[in-house]
Amino acid sequence: MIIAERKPFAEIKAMVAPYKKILIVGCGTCVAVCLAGGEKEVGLLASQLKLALGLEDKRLEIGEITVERQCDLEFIKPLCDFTADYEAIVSMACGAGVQFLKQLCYLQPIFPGVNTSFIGVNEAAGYYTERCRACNNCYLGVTGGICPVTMCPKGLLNGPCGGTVNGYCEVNPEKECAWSKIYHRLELEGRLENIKEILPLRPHQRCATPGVVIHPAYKRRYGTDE
Amino acid sequence: MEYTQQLLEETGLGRGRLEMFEIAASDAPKWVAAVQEMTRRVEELGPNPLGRGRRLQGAAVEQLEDMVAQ
Repeated sequence: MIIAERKPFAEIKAMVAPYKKILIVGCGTCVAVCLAGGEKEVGLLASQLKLALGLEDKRLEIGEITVERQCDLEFIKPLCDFTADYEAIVSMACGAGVQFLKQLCYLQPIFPGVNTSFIGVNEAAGYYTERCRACNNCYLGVTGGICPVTMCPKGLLNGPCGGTVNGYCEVNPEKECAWSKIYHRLELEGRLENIKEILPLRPHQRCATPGVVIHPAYKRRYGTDE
Repeated sequence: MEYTQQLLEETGLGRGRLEMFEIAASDAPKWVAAVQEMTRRVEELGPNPLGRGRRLQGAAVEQLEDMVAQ
């Protein structure tokens, strides 16, 4: 899932300072799971803003709403009429959600309420780690389920490099060497010969931005049928 | 708890107004110490800055007096 962190309160407060009536829109999927931008966090931010501005004798009218996913037209379309009453919007979704919502609600300024961090996993309560760089060319099948692009600070496709020290990385001696882990994983699986396979240069053209993916079943609809 | 205190600090109310104490039902002295600690803190911090001289009025005062009398 997408991992995000809520922006510092002072930054959000400064962004909404010129407005009298704002809408905070939460996202009920990834950012809700990582406790950054779900329904509860929308409520927290609204309360914080009301309290902080109350201390300064200012008044801010705040609307709160959380949709299932801000990256899905189906869920944000109904928001269009609803947002018309507000001077500005704070979106608590990831960067994709903020941009998609703005595409629809183009009249008001939109502000991000979170910083989008990475694609990662929920290792333990409140503890998230990165696992995927979305490089559009997955090597996990030959690397024992450990991504060298993400887990190796150098992103080496053929490793380990000369900087491995007793299974730890020279870039960050506190981190285990990804390629050392790949070696042991493959050894355990009985397919150590995989490590001898020289992977070709990473096809960087496949990670050109902005990326577009069209499902094969929809190619004719979007005019890309070959 | 610490997170909530941080949220209060960010808003400008200060983290000191909120605290959690773990007290067993039979531990009266600990309860007294906790109340005294919070009283001391609130006296030090002063009235709620959001209250700004708001006082209980009318029915609310009577209700409070009834509760105290009970």
